[in-house]
Amino acid sequence: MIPFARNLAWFVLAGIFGCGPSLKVPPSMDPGLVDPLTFGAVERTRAALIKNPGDPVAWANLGLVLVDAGQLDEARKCLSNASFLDSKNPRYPYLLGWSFLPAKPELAIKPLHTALDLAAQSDPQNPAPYLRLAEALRLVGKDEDAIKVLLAQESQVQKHPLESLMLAEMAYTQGQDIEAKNHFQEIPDVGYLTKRRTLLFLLLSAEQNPSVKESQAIEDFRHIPEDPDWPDPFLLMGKPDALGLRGSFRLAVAMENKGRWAEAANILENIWTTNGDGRARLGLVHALIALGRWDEAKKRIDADAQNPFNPLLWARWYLAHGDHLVATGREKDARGDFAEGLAKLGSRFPEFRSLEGLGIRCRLLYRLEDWKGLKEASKSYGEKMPKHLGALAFLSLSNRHLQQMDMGFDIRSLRELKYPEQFPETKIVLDLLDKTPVQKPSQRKS
Amino acid sequence: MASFVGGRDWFSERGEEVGVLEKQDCGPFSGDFFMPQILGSGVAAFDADGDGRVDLFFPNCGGQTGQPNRLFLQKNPDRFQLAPAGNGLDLSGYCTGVAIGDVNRDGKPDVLVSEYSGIQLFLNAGGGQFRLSSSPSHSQNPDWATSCAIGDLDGDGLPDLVVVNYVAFDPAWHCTGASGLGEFCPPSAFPGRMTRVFKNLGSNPGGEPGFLDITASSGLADLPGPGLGVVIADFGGSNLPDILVANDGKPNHLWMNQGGFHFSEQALPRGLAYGGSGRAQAGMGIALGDFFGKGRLDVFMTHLAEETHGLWVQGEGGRFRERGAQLGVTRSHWRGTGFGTVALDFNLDGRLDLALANGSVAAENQPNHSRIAAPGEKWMAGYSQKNQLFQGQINGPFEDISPQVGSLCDLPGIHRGMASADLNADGKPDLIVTRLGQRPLVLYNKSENNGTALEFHDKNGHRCTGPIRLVLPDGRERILSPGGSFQSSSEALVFVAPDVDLGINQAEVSVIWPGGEKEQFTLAKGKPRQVLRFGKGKWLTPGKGQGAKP
Repeated sequence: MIPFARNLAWFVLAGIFGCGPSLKVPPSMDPGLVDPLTFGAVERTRAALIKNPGDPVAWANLGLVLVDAGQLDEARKCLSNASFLDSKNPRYPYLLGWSFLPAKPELAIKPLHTALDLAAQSDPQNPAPYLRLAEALRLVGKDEDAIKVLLAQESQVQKHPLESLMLAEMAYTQGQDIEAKNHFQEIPDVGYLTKRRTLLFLLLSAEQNPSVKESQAIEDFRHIPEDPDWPDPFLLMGKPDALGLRGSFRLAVAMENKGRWAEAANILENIWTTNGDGRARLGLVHALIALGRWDEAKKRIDADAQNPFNPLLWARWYLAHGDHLVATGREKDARGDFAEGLAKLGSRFPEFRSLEGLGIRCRLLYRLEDWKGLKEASKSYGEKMPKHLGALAFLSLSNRHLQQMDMGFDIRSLRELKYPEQFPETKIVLDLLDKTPVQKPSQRKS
Repeated sequence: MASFVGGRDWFSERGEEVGVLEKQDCGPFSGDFFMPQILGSGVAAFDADGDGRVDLFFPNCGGQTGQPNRLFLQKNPDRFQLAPAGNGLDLSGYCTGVAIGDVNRDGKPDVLVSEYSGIQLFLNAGGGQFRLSSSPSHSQNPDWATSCAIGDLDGDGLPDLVVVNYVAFDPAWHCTGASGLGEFCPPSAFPGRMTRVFKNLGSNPGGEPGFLDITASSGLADLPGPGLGVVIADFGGSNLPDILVANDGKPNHLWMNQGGFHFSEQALPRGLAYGGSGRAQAGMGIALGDFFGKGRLDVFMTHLAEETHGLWVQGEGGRFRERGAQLGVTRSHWRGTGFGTVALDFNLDGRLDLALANGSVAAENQPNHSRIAAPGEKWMAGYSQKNQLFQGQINGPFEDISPQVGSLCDLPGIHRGMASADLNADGKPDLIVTRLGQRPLVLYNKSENNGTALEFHDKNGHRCTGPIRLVLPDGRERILSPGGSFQSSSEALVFVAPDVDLGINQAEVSVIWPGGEKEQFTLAKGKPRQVLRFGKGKWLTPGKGQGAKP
């Protein structure tokens, strides 16, 4: 029987005998209860489903959008229906199980088991079903079962980095450090596991060598960014055009991280106009500035005058635009921009959100070569965020120009920084200091 | 040994009957999602007026125009009266947490109240009257303070102050939830703030103490929060009190005491920073206990409903491994976002149990939430959740028995603070739980087993708040620690189950005082309240006991 005819038959049977899941398309959401973006995504996917109610993909798409919208009960009905309509496809029970993670992992186990069984027939190389099932089993304390699930895959698929990590973590939790180390050796340094992998390494090291407690490795670890989600093949199949608010945000962040500012700007603009979330407003202006779309960015900031972050956005604009002018040989005009940016920050910028403001203030003062002002601002910056290397860098720089302190130690710290992309200020300072080495106090005296 | 009848509730909720009627005020919901509103405030159980009966103090977080803080004095057994206006504590503000300790060594418990943008220390003037201390000043902690604790951090006999701060909240910042509508912001929307420590500079007994903010020199300024929970205890076996801070969505901080008021952050290498799956979770409330009878202090921490609560088991060398899932705290009848938590042997069977105060911080995580459709007081329904109680099992994981304990767990609410006390002096642990917009739950223990509550007094006869370790005859330990739970302060007692913990008639137990002095006491069965006074037992620590000051 062809799929459509089979589905139609199910509909008829379900209707006549009242058996099977309800294949009734969920009603339209009350637009007053959700943001327009989510509402639009739900409506688009609903419309696609109404056109083709026998299509499991359409049910799954609506289910995913509803998960993002926090409508979990409705979402699960949709995912169940997708599974009912295409009972051989492991993706649908998988998504159903995934929707129960993390709030109800005990309910995720059964559908994930189903997904694993189905995948063994149709998609045996896909790691998602067994990794998620192991995750669910861990969450309910069934480590032994999780280990069995992971080990059962070894002969069939190439070992996944997450599998090695989970095995190592579970062995460590159970106090089996040698086994944990063996599994640890097998974890490749992939970007989405960097932090968890390093953490495990540090914990295993600390068991053997108490001096790790004080080591630089711990300090470095604190600066490692959080791991992104691992590339789950079943989730990556989601259709971007059906995204609601959360999905749109995720996509925008991913675009920004890849430097794809234009795409990020489009998504964020859509969020801003439909939802009004402050984070989207900020993100969009950042994207437009990064793209050098100065007038657009300016208009956006101007139109959002009531936003409490407005002075910060202006300062950011003038800083970037000034740098742009310098790069194009218009230093005099640039100084005007830097001064204007500083004026925008002014005293209106309240203490409670001044960390970023202080960072920008320091950069503007540096460009204006106002060393006294820079010293004051960088000290405030450092007081609010002790050991912030950007703050230290600017303090070093101002002190150096004011001939007040030997900054050799701080500069060494800057050079050893492993994640300079998090502290753009340090790059500016390092570039300059590389050109003009710092003198020791003794040298200065002589 | 008497045992519980299967299925019988462990507590009786008697708040209304005993006169604790006032609702906790967290201000009206005006649609601006003012974050301090949703974190609410805690509770303290202590003898405020020195009449020997435990009293209850509830800070309110309704702002300057909201209800004042409430002090309920237990004037007669099982009967609380609202202390008259002008008692000194009855101020209005965004009051959040509370800690109890005798900061000026006059034998009367003083009260530290943390606030959104400030702290206030109230000195006990006796008779249920308090006066505001000028030090530390309100402005010395300009941040959003949550939990706080009072404990002697440098061994000089003077209790110091620890104030946990949350985030640099910006009330003008607009956040949305998954549905895209307005919601309380997550902590990640703002920079975290540092935990502050204030050194007690001393005073004449009963006088006004001076406090010095030594946060920067102590090392605590190095790593900001966002902190929500705090407890002071010896995590390293050095007999120096350390500070554990539960951070919301960020790695926890364990500030190990290096002596001389210097602390080194060691949560990461000691295994307490992250959960078992290597992720930072939303740490809120903390409960300590020797959960597995190994004579070591383990850590329980509450998290969001969509996370799992953490149970870190201490191994050799002061290192912890998170094993909550294996030990049953993730297997529950329902889930909740946990705030206050207390680990005590509620059914007096010799095993520590875990009580959790639950309440969401995001309405849309709740099914059929009604906040958006019904603003006003009904908004709270969207955040209401049911509490939980996990029973400690002999040789097994914890078991969620919440459906059996309806008095604590049946009614959904936005529960926040939780503290234990022996309200009716029967030697059995009772519970007080705060609820936003509702009167607190006052839960009297109904166990048929015998209980004994132990008070610890210093050489001057003044009540100690810890950290103190009580070592039972079989090596299991019971712990008294300043802080713990969430924004709350429990009565300074250690509860034991004499039928199980002490043997047939009497038993010898050891007390490890805050300075590390070890002293043996003989506990008699049949007394619901006993006092163990420093220097009145048999010294087990050579060379100790002369001039030592717990």
